[in-house]
Formats: sequence, structure tokens, C-alpha cells
Amino acid sequence: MGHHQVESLPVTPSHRRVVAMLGDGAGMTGLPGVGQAALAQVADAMLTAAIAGFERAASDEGLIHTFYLLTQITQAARDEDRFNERLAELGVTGSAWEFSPFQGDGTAIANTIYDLVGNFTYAIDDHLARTRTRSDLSEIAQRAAAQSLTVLGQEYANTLFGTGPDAVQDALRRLSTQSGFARLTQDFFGRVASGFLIYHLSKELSNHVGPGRRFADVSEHNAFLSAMEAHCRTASSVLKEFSGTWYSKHNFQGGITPRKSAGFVRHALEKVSAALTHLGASDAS
Amino acid sequence: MPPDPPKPHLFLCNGARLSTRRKLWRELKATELITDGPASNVVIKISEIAKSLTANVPKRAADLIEIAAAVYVADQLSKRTGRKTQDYGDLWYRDMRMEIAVRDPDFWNQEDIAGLLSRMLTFISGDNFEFAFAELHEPPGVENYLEFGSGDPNPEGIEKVLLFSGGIDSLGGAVQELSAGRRIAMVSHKPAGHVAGLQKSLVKELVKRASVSGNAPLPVSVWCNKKGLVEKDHTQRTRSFLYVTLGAVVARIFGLDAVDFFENGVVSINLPLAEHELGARATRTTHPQTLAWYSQLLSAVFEQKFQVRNEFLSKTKQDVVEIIKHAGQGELIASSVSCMHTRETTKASPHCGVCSQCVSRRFATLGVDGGTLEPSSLYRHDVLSESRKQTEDRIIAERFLGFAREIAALEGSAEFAQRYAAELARVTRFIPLAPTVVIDSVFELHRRHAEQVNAVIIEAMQASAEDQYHGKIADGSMLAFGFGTNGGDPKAAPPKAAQPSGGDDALRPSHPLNKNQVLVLLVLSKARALMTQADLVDAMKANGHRRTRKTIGIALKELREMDLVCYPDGPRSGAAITRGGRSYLAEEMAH
Repeated sequence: MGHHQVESLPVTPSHRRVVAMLGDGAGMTGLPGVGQAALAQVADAMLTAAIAGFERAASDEGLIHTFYLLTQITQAARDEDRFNERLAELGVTGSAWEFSPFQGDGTAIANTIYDLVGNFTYAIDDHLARTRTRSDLSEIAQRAAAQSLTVLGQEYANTLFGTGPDAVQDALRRLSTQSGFARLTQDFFGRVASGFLIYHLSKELSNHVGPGRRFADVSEHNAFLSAMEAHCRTASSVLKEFSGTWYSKHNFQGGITPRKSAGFVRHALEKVSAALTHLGASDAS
Repeated sequence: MPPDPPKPHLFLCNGARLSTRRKLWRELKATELITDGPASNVVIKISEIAKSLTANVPKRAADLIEIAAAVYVADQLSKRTGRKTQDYGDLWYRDMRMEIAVRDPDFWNQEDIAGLLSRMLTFISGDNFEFAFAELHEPPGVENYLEFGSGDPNPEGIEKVLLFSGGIDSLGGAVQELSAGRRIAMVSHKPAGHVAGLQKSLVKELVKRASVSGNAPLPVSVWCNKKGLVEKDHTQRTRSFLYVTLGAVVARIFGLDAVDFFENGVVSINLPLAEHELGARATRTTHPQTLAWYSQLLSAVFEQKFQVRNEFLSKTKQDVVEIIKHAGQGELIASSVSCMHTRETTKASPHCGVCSQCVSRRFATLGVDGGTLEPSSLYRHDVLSESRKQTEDRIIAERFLGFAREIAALEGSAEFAQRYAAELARVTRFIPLAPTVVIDSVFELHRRHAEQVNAVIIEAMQASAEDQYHGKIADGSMLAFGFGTNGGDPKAAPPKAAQPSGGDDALRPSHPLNKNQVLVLLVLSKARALMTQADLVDAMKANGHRRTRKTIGIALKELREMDLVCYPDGPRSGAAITRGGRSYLAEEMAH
């Protein structure tokens, strides 16, 4: 009980390059072992080694559906009278407990951001189970969306706990404006990118912790992970303007569909990939 | 080239025939599973039950036992690990179809029930399960799976049925219940090899001790073996479904409407240690969602409210050790077994000292009375001081500490909710309390766990300070991960791919440092926060080295110029050692 299934990196020339870059990473002063330049190069090298996976992510059903659902729940918040009904139509509801031994009918209405995130996660789980399309890439997307909704929802709901359904709707409504959705998209794809890169790097980083290594101790390793997340959010800022415009335009032109979402996801990942490569190359030069 | 997509897995059980026309399944070779009769290749048994008690068990319970056993065996026959290329879980998330002949196919084929079964198993295992049920002709009764005990176990007296694995947590549960004077039945899934003997001894000892107060627990063994079938996968994520099914049937035999796990909340929720540990790679054996699904399914099968509970959800493993100790049963801890590497288990050293279960157990016992409740010889490898050679083992050990350090650094439950949003979302929905209350409680549990883990590693580091000074801390050990400073075993080679390529040399000074500079570096290397000049004066004084602020200021300035120290938040906030500084010290220590 309590088993953890972890693994190491595949042994390919491009993965060996990443390992070598971690081994001799030139840390800068300020945060030992976490030099921004070296980190950007590591991110770029990791992306190059796993580029087939990043390209595969563009057509991953879980990632596309997660993004599509983000576009839809924000739109649902604009419907003053039918917000909860719209969420229920999307499967983002708490009514799975019709014959639960202890929960009655469940919580159909999201009273807090945490209810919303719980229902949102459940809706994706349900979709992936029905379509048999679960993959590690969909898990990364699901995790990214839950984090984005929690972080931005907490901020927009203006208080952390017990806000009530109106505050949840209000928080989502603020994410449904052109600038609000741009922020949500930037945050989400930044987390998808860092989740993807750390997914691979986490199979190796522990080999670089200890005296005389890149990370002197576990805290420096933790700091590197945080810095990688920040780096990817910087890279995803290229989406900010484009995503807000895309969202507004398509909402007025017949609405956003899963197919349109798939097109956006592909384009967004290409842009983030290019930005990560650019940042890595800038630091190398 | 992308790896080939894995093939789905098809199982036909107890004479069921393939009922779907889908080409996907038609083209596959099915594996036949049989649970009854001379041709059976799946053997299920529950021991020590009086024949007179089986009247409490509905016929669907026999169906449930066979379904759970078939799933458990199918799980072991379907390979999902071992691929060394990056496939993003193609092999991990298996497609399984099970056609099973049962006594009550109308019930099992209901969309709600078959769907619930699939959804439950998908969460536990990460696999896609689909079921179809056919009529079972001349079915055996549930008594077919019971090995009747010699005496009547007096069911009126049994108040609880515990799932007893023989690890520390379930031992804690048994001790807690027996200390409270409750009469319990302890259902154990019979393990393999030496562990079976150790588990038996522990149960015997518990019975003996409880008999003094006339409150002996009733041990019930359950097991499921496969005959003539070769195991292809060892992950066994569905094992708990079989285990809880057999436990629930025992509970119904005794007329009870609940079965109890006792597992600490940190392991129960089992947050991932590494980012690539997605889905059910971190086991969900007693996850709150798993227990909710079990409760839902068993309530439907038994046609009455039935609960699967975990009373230790708000406890850490160290809390459980405290419970056992305070009940005066601390010496039983050494007889419990937590290790997952059961095949390598020996009687003298049943724990590997490397797997996540051993790491978590050793920290818990070290946290209570410094580990005196069990001898360190129980571990084949010392948890704290021995080097991990395999990358996977390093990840477990290093991230165990990294996780604790990360949690301790969080400011509150809101930040915790952001970091683990998806994982918590899979918990909150399945606990009948407000999500904010659940998140606060889960954070508090993990904060306490982090404090306990950090206290153990700090104490171990203090005790190893001399070894560290002399560079005797083994590379790749938990002590090395914790120290964050120089030292290390110069003879221990790092993994080949991880060898530094000499980039550190550029940061090292071209001439040796003077004594004051080395002292400043040594103190900074051990510091857990930024240090001002005044802090450095005090720290040095405490170590018997009197230096003025001016002397230290000069040393700091020189070190700063050599990039061996830095001021991350500006000179007024204090200095920290750089990675170059640490490398310098490590080199000096090595020579």
C-alpha cells in the first residue's frame, strides 16, 4: 500500500544531452544551482528531446477537451439565469451521487471555487473514461486546468472560502472577457508546458541532488521546479494577445466548438514551443 | 519511431462467450478464467467462517467475489510496464474487456452497475474496463469459497471487520480497537513467502495479548491464487478491490454493514512525489474516492447501506506509531511488515529500506523515541545513510524529502490548494464535508507529516555532522539529499550520465582560501537562512572561533568577488553560499 511508480529517462542521444546539461549547469548567483540562463537552455534541450510528445499533445483528446471545457464554462458564466444549468449540460456538476450511501444528491451548485474545480475535474475524468482517451498528456492538461482555475478563481472571487455561487459565477465571468480569457489561456498553457517539461525532467533531476551536484539539496531542486514553472509562464505570454482575440472572435462567429478548440491548441503549442526555443537560444548566445 | 500501440486484453470468465461484434475484440485471443470446479485456474478462499453464518450472504455476493477475483487475476496477466521508450502512458492505461458468467446478469448488466464498476476500476487502476455479463449455469453457492472453521466464532460479539495487512497502520487499527474493548474480526489477504509467516506470527501475538482480557480478535484469512497462469505485471492496482470484497462479504456474514481500513491519510491520499507520477501510478488503494466507489457498489450489491471506511484518514504514519506505543504495544511494531519487495524478504530483515513504504515507515518509527521501537537490522539497507544506486530509488528518497520541504514552505491551505488542485479535486467531491473544510484538514495533515519528516532528517543530520565534516556522507543517500553542503563520499561515483563536465571549475578560485574565508563558507553552507555579519560572528563564536565583524566583512567581500557567496536579497538581508562555494568546499573536503 502507498506505492509510487516512478521511472527514469529513456536513453537516447537527445536525452543524454539533457542529462549532461543538468550535470554541468552553470548556476548564477542569487539562487544557487538555478541560473535562469542554464534553466532556459535545459528547458529548450528537454523540449527538443521530447518534441514528438509535444507534437502529439496537439492532438491529445484530453488536452483539447480540457481547453474546450475552459472556453465553455467561462461562457456559461455570462448566462445570468442559466449558469448552473449550462454547467450541468457540460457535465460540470456534482450530481453523480444519486445512490451514494452518504452524500444524497451531491452538490449540484458550486458554492466555492473548490466545488467548481472538483466538478470540472470530474467532468474531464468522465469524458476520458467514456472516450477511452486517457493519457499522461491529458493528465498534465487536467492538472494545469485545475491549477489555473484555482489560482485565478481564488483571486477573482476575492476571498478564499465560502464565497457562494454568485462569487464563483462572477469569477468565471471575469475570465470570460477578452483580457480575462487571455490571462486564463496564458496561465493554462504555461502550466501545460511546465508540466510537460517537468514530467520528463523529474525522471532525472533527483540524480543531481547532493554535495557537489547541481542542486546542493532538496530545497534547491524545489526552487528549480518553481523557476521552471515561471519560465514556462513567461514563454506562454506570447499567447496573451492572440488568445483573447481568438476567444472573442469565435464566440461571436457561431461559438467555440471542439474542432475550433483543437485548432487553437495546436497553434498555441507551436507558439509556446517556439518561445521556449527562442528563450533557450537567447540565453545560450 | 513511435512505439507500437499496445493490444487490448480480453478475458472470458466462467464459461462466458464473447458477446460483442466489435472487430477490436473479435480479433483478439481471449484468456479463459475459471473460478470453480476441477478446471479452475483462479482459486479463492475465505477461512474460519462457520457454515451456519452463510445465510446472511446474498447470491450476488458470490458473483461479486468471482468478479473481483477475475479482475485481480486479469490485472496480473496484462503487462503494462517495462517499456523504456516514452509512450505517455499508452502501455500504462490498458484496455480490458471482461465477459463474466454470473448468477444475476440482469443486475450486473444494468448501465448504472456495470458503469459504476468500470468507473471505480478506472480510478483505482487507470485502466479502461468494460464488462458484459452472461447467465451462469449451475452456479456454486458462496459457501464454495469458504473454508469452515472448527468452532462457532460467535458472530454476535463481532463489532467490526478490519482489513489487516500486517503493516504498521493496520496494526495500529487493531491495537486501537482492541484497547477500546471492541471485538473485531481481522481479515488478512494471505501474502507470499516469508511475509505470510511474519503476518501469521503477528496475528498470533495480537490474539494472545488480547486473550488476557477475554477479547481475542477473530483472524480470517482470505486468498486468491492463480493456477497455471503466468504473471506478467506486478503493479496489482486492483488488489484492494478483491481484498475489500472479501472483507465486505465477511462483514455481511457477521451481519455488519461496514468494513474498516486503517491507513494513514498521507498514504491514503498519496499525493504524487514526482511530476511524472500521474494517474494511478501513486496507488489509490484507500483513497477517499476509492472508498466512496466501494461503498456505492457494495450498497447496491447488498441492497442496503454499506460503508467502507478509513478511520486513520486524519493521521500520519508517525501518529499511528504513537497510538501503538501509547497503548503499550510498541514492541509489536518490529513484527509488522510494510515493505513492498516481498519476494526478497528475509525473516531477519523483512524490509528493503529503499521502497516508499520502507522510507515512510522508518521515518515514522525514528520520529517516535528515536527508532527504539524497532531495530535498524530489520532493514537490509539503511534508510538514511546508504546510497541509492538506481535512479528510481533515488527519486523516491529524494522526493520524499523534497515533498516534506515543499509542504513546510507553504504559507497556508490556499497555496496548498493551488499546488495540488487536481489531486484535491479528486478528494473533496467524495467527502461529505464542505471542500474548504476538507482542504484545510488535508493541508493540516500534510503539514504535520512534513514537520515530522523534517524533524527526523534534521536530527539525523545533526548526529552525522562529524561524518559530514569528514566527507563520509554517502552520495545518493537521504542524508546527502538533506545536507545541502559539502562532503560526500568521493569514492561513490555518480550515475554515469550525471557526471559534471567540469563547468564548476570556472567558479572555483585559482588560489586556496584563507582560514577566515573557509570558516565563513562552512558556516554559510550549514545555514538554513540568509546570514548577516552579526549572525556570522555569533555562529562562529558558538563554534569556538572568535572573529570580529570587520574580519568577517573582509572575508565576505573577498568571497563575493570570487562568486563563492552572494546576497540574494541585497547586502542588508544577508549572505548565502553559492553553488560555486559549495563545490569549492566539496573539493577541499574530498582532498
